[in-house]
Amino acid sequence: MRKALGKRCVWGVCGVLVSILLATSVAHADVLSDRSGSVLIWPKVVWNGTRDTVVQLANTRNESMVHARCFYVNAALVRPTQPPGPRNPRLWQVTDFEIWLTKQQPTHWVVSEGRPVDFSDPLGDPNAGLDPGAIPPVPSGFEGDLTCVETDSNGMPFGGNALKGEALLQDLDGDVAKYNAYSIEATNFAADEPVNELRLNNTPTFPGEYNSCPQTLLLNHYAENTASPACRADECEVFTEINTTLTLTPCNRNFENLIPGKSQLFFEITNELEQRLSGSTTVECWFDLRLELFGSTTGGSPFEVLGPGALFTKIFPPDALLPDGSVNSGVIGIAEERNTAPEYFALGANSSVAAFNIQQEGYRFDKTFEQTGRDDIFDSITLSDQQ
Amino acid sequence: MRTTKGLWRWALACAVVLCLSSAASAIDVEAPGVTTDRAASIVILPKVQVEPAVDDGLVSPGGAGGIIVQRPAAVDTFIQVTNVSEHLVGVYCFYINANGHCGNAFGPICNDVDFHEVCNGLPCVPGWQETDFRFSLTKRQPLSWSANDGLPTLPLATMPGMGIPPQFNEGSIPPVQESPFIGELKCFQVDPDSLDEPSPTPVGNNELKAEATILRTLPYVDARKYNAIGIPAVPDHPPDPSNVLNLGPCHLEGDIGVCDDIANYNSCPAVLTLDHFFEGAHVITHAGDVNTPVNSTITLVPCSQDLSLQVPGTATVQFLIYNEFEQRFSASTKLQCFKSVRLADIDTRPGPDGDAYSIFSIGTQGTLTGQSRLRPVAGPIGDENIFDANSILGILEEAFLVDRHCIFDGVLTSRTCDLNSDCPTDNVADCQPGVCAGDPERECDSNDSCGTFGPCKVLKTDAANIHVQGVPQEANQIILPRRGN
Repeated sequence: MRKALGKRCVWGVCGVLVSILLATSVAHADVLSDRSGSVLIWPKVVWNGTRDTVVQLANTRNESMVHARCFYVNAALVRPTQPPGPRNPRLWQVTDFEIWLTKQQPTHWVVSEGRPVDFSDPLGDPNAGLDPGAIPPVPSGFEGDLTCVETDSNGMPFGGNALKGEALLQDLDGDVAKYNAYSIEATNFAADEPVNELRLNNTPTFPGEYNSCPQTLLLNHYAENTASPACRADECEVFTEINTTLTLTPCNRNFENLIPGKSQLFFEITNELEQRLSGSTTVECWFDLRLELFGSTTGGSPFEVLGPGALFTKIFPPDALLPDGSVNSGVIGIAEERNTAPEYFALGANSSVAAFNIQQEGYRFDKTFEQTGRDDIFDSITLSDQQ
Repeated sequence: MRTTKGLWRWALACAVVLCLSSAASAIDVEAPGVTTDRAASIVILPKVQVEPAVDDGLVSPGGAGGIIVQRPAAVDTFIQVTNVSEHLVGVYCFYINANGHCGNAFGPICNDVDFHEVCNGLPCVPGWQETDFRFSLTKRQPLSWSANDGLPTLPLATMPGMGIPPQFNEGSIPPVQESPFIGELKCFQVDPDSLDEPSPTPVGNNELKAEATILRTLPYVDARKYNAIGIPAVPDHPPDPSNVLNLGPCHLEGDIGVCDDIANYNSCPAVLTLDHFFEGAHVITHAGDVNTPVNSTITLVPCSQDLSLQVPGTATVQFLIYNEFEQRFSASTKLQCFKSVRLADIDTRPGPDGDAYSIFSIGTQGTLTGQSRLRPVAGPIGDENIFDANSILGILEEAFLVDRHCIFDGVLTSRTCDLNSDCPTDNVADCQPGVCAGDPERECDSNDSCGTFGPCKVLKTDAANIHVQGVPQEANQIILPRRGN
């Protein structure tokens, strides 16, 4: 009798634990821009007097409140008027704050203004609603990214996969561009020690804490200064020219020791005639560049040489480690396409930008494991200790 | 002693089970669904739009005697499709024309907003007409075309690509069926060796990616862009028959439907989750220097379609809307084939009248943003029809109503205006032309010229993919045309 009862007790506990484990399983192993997750990254946040950003964030869960720690990373250049380089690095200044969202609550803020806690906001006011927390404004000249990590009430990372977000980039002339924030889903190993280190090492073949960043970015775009596809005929005047700006941010980031991620990237570019060129660059902290300036500020960019017409570019870190032995980080990013018409053709307002998320392929953790045989090389997000 | 040892054995067995469960739960265990982040075997562009330009004989200032400029469409959609693989890929595409026509398929083109003016008392009959075309892509080849012009000759039609063995493009891409045009584009990855057959054979290699840019060039330049919604194929589960594509998680075994997560393609989503601004909300940025009201449009298309018998998919969509106070409202609408609708027109009469009373308006909600959950109503679970999940896919577009400004010497000034007379005459400035906020297909040069569809504004737009959630209990199905013997 006691033996039977003991067995039932053990299996009962076992069953409960199995249920809990399976119930919190993650559906995908990808970094996604169309599903909610436990970590959100907005790769491009700007406030520079001519461009401002509206951040949108929502809790997609119906059962509970969501707590998150958010980190602005200011990647402005030390000398903003000079091009980036070894003597003009990026700042990588981190400002963090906390937010609370009730069930299914959406929220928003303008980064130049922040959002104070003010219960007196009247209905219809831009800040009306349950204020998510005291959100600071960013300084003028800010350019960088925003990361929000879902936590429990004690500030410890929590894998609820409840957050989704978007960003609206608006220019002074009213032109707008929108993209979805990238979400990284957590698995039930999210709370493994060290707790403040979020390991991005979950893939379809390896059980990790958070989903791995992609190995390769797949960018569909146009050759720089190419004419829009509506204008292929010889007798056609050029109506709009197209230019693309690429923004990348490393997945690896250490907010405790203020160590930005770094990535050496390889670019393989193919045009409509299957002609190929390649290039490489290093991304440290943050990368934002108009592709016609890639490799040269005086012309001759591979993104212009392969034109006119459509291009397909694969962007990936070729090696697992950097020369200094640190992790060669995976990257995520967005692209912005600017269409510009001759001034005689469109009276004023002859230029407009559209933003879009970059698609991806493969898993960074799987590639580094394949290259090194080591499972201790992975991208990670290290939160600052709150003590 | 024996009891204790036995308990430890059971505990050990339990621990083994726990370990296995942990491993299983940390890796994919649920059926993944649609994607906008990775390549797929089906790519869907829910909104393709073309609006013709009015020919006003614009002459380019360049060249001796000037050159009559060939105007593009006022609004056109540039479609980009790429083969991400290292081998030849076949693509089988369908333009689905959702234009309404007055009275019948040959009447003037109309929509829910303008049919009172256009149709002279006739109803605006919704349309659903597909035109298919096929082509091949060589390895890693990107391709781009304008919906208004198509691409009659592909880049590698007559000259080979750079690889070994050399690959050529087959096929061509027609323009959309009529202008103006509104509808969707669906493309399926097929065996390139079957492109010449009456019915190309779908293959599930997940090697296509696509994007669409909707570009307005008249009367001003405005661009918005979104990623195609991809439906990945399930490896090693080709459709049988080859023209009936089951979008998970069910399939037919003979005449019996079985829902066991084995399907040809991934599931469409159970719910769409949409973050949006409420209608008429003023988005204020740049420390108050930019203050623009915003309207949002969603475009929804059904996952299930019978392209063989020309039966459009349908769905009833339930909305749950949450504002920033966590207050909840609801609405619903019906969808047949295609629906592109302002949020404020979901629960009010189409058109600007009544927008202020919509539950999607800021006047009703009181906060700037909301989160809406869109749930298509599925058919009854457990009956004979297992393909009635009635799932939907969609995109969001936002239009920011920017004031028109005086233009001097081709450059925008800071002075806002409605009429040319509002601009300084000594500098010979003009007031910027715009479009009617209530009907963006109408160009305008004053608020009065828009009438009830006013005001006359510059609409700056953006587009974004809508987030998805969950997997329905039943499946969707796409039936491709079966032609020939």
